[in-house]
Amino acid sequence: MSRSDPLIGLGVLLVLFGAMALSSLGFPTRARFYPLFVGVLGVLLASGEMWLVMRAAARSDADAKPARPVESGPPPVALARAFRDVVPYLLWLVGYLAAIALVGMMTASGLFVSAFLWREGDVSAVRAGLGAVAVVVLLLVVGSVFSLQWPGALFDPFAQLGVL
Amino acid sequence: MIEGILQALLTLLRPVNLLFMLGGVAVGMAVGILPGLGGTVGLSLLLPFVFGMEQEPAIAMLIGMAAVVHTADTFPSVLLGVPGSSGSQATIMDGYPMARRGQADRALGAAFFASMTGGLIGAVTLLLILPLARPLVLAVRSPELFMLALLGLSMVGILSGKHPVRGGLMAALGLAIAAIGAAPATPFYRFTFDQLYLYDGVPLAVLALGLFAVPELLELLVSGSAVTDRDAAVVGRGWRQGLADVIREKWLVFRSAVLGVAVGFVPGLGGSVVDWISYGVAAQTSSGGEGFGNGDVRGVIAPESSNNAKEGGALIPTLLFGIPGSGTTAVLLGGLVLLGLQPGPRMIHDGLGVTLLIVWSLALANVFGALACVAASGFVARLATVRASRLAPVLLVVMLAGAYQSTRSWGDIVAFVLLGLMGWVLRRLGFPLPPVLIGFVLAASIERNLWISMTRYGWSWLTDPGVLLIGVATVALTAFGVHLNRREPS
Repeated sequence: MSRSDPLIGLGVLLVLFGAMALSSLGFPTRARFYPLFVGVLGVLLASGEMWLVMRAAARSDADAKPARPVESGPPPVALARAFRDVVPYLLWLVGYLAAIALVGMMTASGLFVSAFLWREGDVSAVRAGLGAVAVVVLLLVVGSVFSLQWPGALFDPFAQLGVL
Repeated sequence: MIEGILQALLTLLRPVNLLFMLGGVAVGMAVGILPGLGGTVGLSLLLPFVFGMEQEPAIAMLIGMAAVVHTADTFPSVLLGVPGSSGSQATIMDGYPMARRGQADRALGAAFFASMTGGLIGAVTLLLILPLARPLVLAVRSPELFMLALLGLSMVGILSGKHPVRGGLMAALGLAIAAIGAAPATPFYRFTFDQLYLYDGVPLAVLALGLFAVPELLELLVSGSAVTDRDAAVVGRGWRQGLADVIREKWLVFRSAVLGVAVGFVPGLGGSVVDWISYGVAAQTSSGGEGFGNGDVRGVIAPESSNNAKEGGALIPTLLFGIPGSGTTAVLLGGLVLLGLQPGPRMIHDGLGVTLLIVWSLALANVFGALACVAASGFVARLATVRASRLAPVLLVVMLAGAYQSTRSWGDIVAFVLLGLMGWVLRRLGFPLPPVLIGFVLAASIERNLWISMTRYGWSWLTDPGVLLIGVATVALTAFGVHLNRREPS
């Protein structure tokens, strides 16, 4: 990740915690104490971590060593670039959610799974279709056994047919 | 007493009672494997069937289900890095890295045998302590509950490795998210932005699924890989190594189970706390604890042993006082009342036969559930070798379905996505995510018990022996953990 990424993230957290503390001042007494304490704590910790990050960056400049390392997780790539890599999958997710709102969970899940497997999973259309059917059957069985409920939709063919 | 114990065992071994117990075990396994459901959903499912049933098979079924959820919830935690239920969050810390190294079988085997042993220890402890527990339960008041919540929060330092400030910041974020919704001390809604969905706060299942599952799925999709390589996957025989690990770490299993019983014994603390506390204590007190978080099998054994043992501890206040220790035991309590049982001190005297049946059901269900999970682990572990682009759509559908059951509104889905994005960004920036969950689950206990303590006792509660004891333990564990982390090589 780039050097500015953690600082930007910490800056956002600093603003959020500060806003939390300030807005809590307008709460009734019994509701105020906890968010005020957490907000102040968050501001202090975010400020402290920002100072540590900047100090480590300054030292790495001086010593030509890597800056403050990440604890764990993916390889260091700038956040903006990493987000660009993720955008296609987020669009798939948004499309799936839109489909749920339009045609219901069962139909949307079948369409989503088959399309994703075929397009991204490099699977044949027949196998993608079979996968979609398996997922829909799983949802129907589990939903029936556990009395699960599904999000409302504009036109849900399964609900229209009385299956749900 | 011995006769009563044997009689209860014979009662459970009657074919009809055994059959219903195994049915409960099957439901518990299904509920545990599916992320986002949890023991409360499973028990709620079985409650309607309890109507009109005889006591013995109904009790066997209910306890059978409750006992096994925290065994089967290891599957998604280890294989996919997604918590199967609130009690398996800490298992992800080491179980998932083990799966990525091709040791999914070993991790699952260790988890199941640790769960089985912990559950048995919980059942035995329940049997032994029940007659003696009444004064202990009465001694736990709001100041002790507040201090125990702080003890849980202190685990954040251990889980943050060499960056405790970062971990503390994430715990504060969890505390902040928990502030959304109704204030516990007064009728006032905080940070809801006039959204009806937020009036009850953010559901734990949605937060856990979003924080852990979405970032992991996105990273796997971008990398184009599977959880582990097919060539590196060890399938079929690794569970024996897991069993050997449990036998080798028998003292860790035992003390984690004792800790689980002790935490479960405290009403209101909940299952999502015990595994973190157990994990943190194990990391601090085990030699070579710096390996925790990188695929150390002890990081799987400790929380799995404690979260099963916790059920035995939670049944003590539930049976003795009708005070449920968690959502699961609250529903279980409802089931016992439906069966005509009256939880209270009479359970030890007049209702001893039923109580002993509960103990045996807990013990045998743990054994059967663990063996069934071991039998299934070789097959299920192969899921870890499936490419992310083929596994992700199915997982996403299942997780969305699970997340939606929290409040059954579109808000669950929106929150799942937004929290998932937040988790991805935080992970990308190198912030640890487990402390967010810890702060979130402990927040309610912290605020509520602090207010009750201050209102009832003023400042005098700070000098109570129980408070001081837990405070000293918290400071000692935290200091020891910081000392251990400083000794780690850079």
